[in-house]
Amino acid sequence: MEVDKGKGEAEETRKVAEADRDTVTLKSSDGKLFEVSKEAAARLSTVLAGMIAGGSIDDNGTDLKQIGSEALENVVDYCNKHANSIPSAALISSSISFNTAPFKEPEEWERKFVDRLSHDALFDLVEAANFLGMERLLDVTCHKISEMMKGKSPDQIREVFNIKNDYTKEELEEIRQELAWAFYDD
Amino acid sequence: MIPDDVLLFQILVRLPVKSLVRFKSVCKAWCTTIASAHFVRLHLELSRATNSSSMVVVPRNYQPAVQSNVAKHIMESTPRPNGIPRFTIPLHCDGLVLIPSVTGHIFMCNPATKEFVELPPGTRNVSLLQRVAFGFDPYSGTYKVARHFLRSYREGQIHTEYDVGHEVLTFGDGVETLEWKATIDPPYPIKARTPICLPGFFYWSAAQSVVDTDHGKLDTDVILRFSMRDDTFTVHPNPPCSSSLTLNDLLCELSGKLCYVHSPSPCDVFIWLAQDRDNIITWTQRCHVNLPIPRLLRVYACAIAEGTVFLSVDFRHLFKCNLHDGSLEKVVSMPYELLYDNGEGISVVLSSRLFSHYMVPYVESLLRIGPGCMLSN
Repeated sequence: MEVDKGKGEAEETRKVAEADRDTVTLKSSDGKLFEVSKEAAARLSTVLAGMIAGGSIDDNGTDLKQIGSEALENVVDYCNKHANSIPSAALISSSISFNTAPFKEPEEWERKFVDRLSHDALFDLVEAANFLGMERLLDVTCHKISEMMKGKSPDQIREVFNIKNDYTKEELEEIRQELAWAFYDD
Repeated sequence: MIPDDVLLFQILVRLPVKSLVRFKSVCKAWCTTIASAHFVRLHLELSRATNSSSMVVVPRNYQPAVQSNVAKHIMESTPRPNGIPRFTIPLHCDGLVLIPSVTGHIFMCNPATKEFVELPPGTRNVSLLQRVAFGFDPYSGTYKVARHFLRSYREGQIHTEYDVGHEVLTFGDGVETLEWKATIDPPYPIKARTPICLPGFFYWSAAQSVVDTDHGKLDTDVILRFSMRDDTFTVHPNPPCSSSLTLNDLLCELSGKLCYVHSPSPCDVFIWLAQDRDNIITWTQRCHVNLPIPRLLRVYACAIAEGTVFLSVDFRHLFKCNLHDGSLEKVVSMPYELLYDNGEGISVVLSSRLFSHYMVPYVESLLRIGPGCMLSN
């Protein structure tokens, strides 16, 4: 009885400690663990905010089966950098929902953050940001991809996004002739 | 794999029109999306938010009957359709540029998509003097073009009699044919001066009274506000600086506000601004500008940023003006220094013979003109 009681108390203490912790642990699809500031996670991700508020955060690593370790590392890196970035960044991100502009221009550090990523890493990060409801990160990554697309030809775009060409040769030729001006460089 | 809705509505939608036109040939699904009303609307909102200070310059030749090159961007190449008769100040709304000609032909183009359309002719105007209004009606989600005309014209022995009509053409309401519809007649004859077009309203200058005096005719003008929502006119005062919109004065739009550019002498320009609140238009003088070169005819203003405007003197000399203190900074002498892209990536000075370099604020959009255009959701 006494032992059991002690166990219960320990359990209680652990739960309290968990609630007081200022980080959360996230687990990628391939089982790697990452720790991220609870405040930043809740502020930047609607999904994580919901999980934290709903108590469904697992101290041993909250499973994020849809996100690979490389993308999750980038997510966590972004959250930490965001938490440490100049106050204006935090201010902007917290006021995003009140902003009338649909998208915000990335800040300098966010630009650098996405510039160093490979193609694949960037695409995975878009997926992760979308899955986690990270509006700002989605914004920054999508901005980067759109920048990359600007000067590309339809052929290159199909290759990058793995899109099947469902036009006939004749249809394609017709479009090309009609809209020839759009096929020169931007 | 990036989910489709992210790829289309978060990534693709940020691209410039030229890229989007090209990417219509990526696959059929992209083509359908890029042409969809939702996508066009979203793209426009983004374009507005990110390119707040672009301008489109529409140069016009001196020779009245000779065609002119139309709609050439400062920044990028645009089409050169031929055969435009002499025209007056173009009007812009959401990427569409309306070019009103003195012959009554009205042209509309989207310089980004290179669509170019002549609007159907309206009621016959017995006078060559006419102007056109063009703007967005937020109540119905449609775009409207309005024109005034003289239905009959009679030289009396003492007075000249006018019978003035006003009609509106709406597009974006899903109706297949573009048609002019008569509105209630304006209470005073509308002057053939370019109106101000704000969301939901057109502001025309109209002659309330003309009195013969020893020094000639004395006009008293008013601002006639046409409401697109209820198709009515209301009468509002001119700014106190000038009872009449003389040939040296202009009505302009500055970032959603009514602007009256009053130039009582060749080197003096007064900029008056008004806000239309609760149906009352109150004018305030914003600044006085001393022009370094005298104007011949008039000075046109258009906003570039908060507190800063472009002043175009006779549509030839471009200045940047600080509205707080009226100070000027020369930008460019348009006939000699403005470079135009010839459409093949080569910059050229068009010609010093070009008479007017009309410029209007501009945002790039995918909007299509005419029946079935993609305007409402």
